[in-house]
Amino acid sequence: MTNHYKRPPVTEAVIEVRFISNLNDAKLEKLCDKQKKKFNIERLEESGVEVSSYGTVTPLGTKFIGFKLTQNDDPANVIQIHPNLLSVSRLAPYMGWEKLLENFKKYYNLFPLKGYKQLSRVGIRFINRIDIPMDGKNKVKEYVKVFPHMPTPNFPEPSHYFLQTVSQIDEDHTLTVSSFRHNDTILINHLSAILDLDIAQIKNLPVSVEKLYSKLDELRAQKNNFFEQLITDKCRELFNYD
Amino acid sequence: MINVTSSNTQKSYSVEYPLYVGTHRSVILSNTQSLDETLLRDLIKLKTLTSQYAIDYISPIFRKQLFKQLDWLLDPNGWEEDDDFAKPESFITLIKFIINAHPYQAPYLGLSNNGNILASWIHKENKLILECFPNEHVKWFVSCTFENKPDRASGESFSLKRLLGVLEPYKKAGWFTCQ
Repeated sequence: MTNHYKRPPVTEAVIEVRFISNLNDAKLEKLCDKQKKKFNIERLEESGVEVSSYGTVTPLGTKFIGFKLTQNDDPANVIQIHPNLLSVSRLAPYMGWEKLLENFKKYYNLFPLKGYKQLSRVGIRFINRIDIPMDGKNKVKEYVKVFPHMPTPNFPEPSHYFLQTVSQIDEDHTLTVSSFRHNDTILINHLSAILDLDIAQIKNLPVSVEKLYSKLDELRAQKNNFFEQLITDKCRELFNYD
Repeated sequence: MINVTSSNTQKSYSVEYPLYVGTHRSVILSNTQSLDETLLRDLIKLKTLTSQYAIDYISPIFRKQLFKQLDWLLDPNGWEEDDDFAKPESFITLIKFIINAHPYQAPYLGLSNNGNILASWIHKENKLILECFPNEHVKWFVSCTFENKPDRASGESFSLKRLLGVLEPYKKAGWFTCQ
């Protein structure tokens, strides 16, 4: 089932592909440099700490992992380019799948190396924020079908929760669903629930560009199907009011 | 949450995890140097926060007006050397005010000495001015006309729910009406 909501709750939609080979740092930098008129480019570094059982914290140093490109005239369009990864994201307001896929195609084509584009993973991720009206009671279960199942009737309602499920859809595809409460109250007298769906394929990957694009369409249809199963009619009403 | 300074780069970052034993990793953005780059990064940060918080509770026209104000506010050409950079947490308070109060048009923006966002709506002789602090803390000032006499009030609220309640009697002043 596909719904085109008047107010889609999408806070971020991502298409991500990973490659078997790594682009070296110089080529990566050159690739990003070509985009510097249109994008603000930031280096991403990974940092870490090691915490011992005695509570000692040891910094592990920093490691370059890639670039984040944010479109200057529309910062809702974000691209990440790592040595073996390209992701194209659209933050809110979501302009629809066609637009996102069109953007992905544009930047996928910029990746230069022939023979480089052998895929190791294809995935899409949609992060939704559902603002649920409250009247002093936690009503998440009236809107979202994935929530913590607590004993009744004398167990206190959880004020916060975080759930993650990983499901094997079939031999090739994995679905990860994360459901949790946003830590801020954004709308007065509402609770903001995050519903994050990630579908990925790591086996039997497409070998041509055309097959990749049709694979992405397929993943998106699967995502829509799962999303619709995870919400209630009452929830759909929230996305359709004027 | 713990703060760590990398011995290699002297950059500070926070690890948002409880102190479980083991390895914790987080992604950080490297520091930029120039004023132009810093202002551009701040501008992108505030526009991104608008996306994250407002989703599509604001109209495309409102978003355009708001972004125009942000472009003006963080324009390197108008930037004074001793200006403080905008606090993102202060901007979150403003965005939350906007999506809960539903003004028809975006406010005029300014920055206080300590980087808090100032927002004003002006309609004829009526004014609403907010200084937004982090965590829904707002100092506010209203000026309007009541039965042909000037009426002014100011205060400080620590929750948006309270602030909207306090401003309710002044709504007729028309700051939020379509002009």
